[in-house]
Amino acid sequence: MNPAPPPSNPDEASFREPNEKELIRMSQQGDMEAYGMLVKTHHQKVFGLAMNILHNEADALDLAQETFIKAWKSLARFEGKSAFYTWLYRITSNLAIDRMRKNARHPHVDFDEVNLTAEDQEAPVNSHLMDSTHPSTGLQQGELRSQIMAALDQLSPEHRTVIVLKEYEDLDYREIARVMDCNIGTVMSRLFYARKNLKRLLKGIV
Amino acid sequence: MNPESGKKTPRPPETVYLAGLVDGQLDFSQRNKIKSLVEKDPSLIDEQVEQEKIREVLRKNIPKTTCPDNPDFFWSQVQNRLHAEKRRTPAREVRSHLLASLSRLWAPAFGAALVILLLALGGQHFFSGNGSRFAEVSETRTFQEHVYATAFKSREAGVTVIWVDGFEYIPATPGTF
Repeated sequence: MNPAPPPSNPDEASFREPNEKELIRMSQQGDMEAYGMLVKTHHQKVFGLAMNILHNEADALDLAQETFIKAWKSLARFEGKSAFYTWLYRITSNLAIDRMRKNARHPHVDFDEVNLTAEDQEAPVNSHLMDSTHPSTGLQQGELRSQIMAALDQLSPEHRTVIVLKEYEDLDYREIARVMDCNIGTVMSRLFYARKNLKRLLKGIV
Repeated sequence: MNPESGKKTPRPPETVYLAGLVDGQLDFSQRNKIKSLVEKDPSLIDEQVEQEKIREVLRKNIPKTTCPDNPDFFWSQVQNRLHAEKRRTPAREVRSHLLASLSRLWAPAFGAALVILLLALGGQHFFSGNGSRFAEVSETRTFQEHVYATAFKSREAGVTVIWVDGFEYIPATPGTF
């Protein structure tokens, strides 16, 4: 949420919208209405992150709600050292990684060379995709995205999460380290191997 | 590649700096380190190109995600779940409180049961009969029905103990019960 502009006269002060910092403070004191405003501001981004990691709308929606429930319960521990959305991302990615591990329905790869099966290469994952043709591969963009998603699904939960945080959410290493609760060296290493694995999984496409 | 063994030479762990180089996230010393590694092993340039390519492809194909719920509906769903959890919590608290109370009561209950058992088994012998240390005075007389008085007399010690039970409070004025 952008900070509210300063009031032009003192009478307006009482009517101005509280900024994010104030909303967080009010929420920490138990103000649910203030927390509702924070939820409405961030729900789209939290859902987006969950969706990009899980690739399932119902799961992503459930996880986004769970994130805000967990955040409400732990709000007292938020000290404001990092941005609020970084803190929410941390909760989201932790829950997503836990869920992926519990489900364990995605066979994933870490460092070994793995090729996509013919079935994987044919199966489109997502239907609501754009239809421009990729110049180098000749693939429709929708098909290419499907291939990328299928490849991401085969990565380990940590590798998938680090790719999404870097390439889709455009966080820097320091932010990713905070979100994933690890050091910057680990972020770099995970990214390096995740990209290598993706390159192998997308052989012939990239 | 090792020309003698024909096996791949393991790369130094700093190779992962290539990811940081591609993302522009290295500090000065890390940048120097990876540059010197690339000078020694030119095949690392291919690795760098690979990292750049995959990065580019991913960034050009970011999926568009839109939350199907509008902000108000989404918040109402979160609120419902929070309220549902809140409702569940007191019931859980009552259950755990009850269990805690019962666990606190077990010791006195066990003690009372033990006393009753001992009284039942040996009370008669202990409190009455020849050679016993105490004799129970069987006649108790009080003005209130729920107040009981029992007297124990020790012949050996020459002491009589009167046990009065049933008062809700100790009467301020003696002799009112």
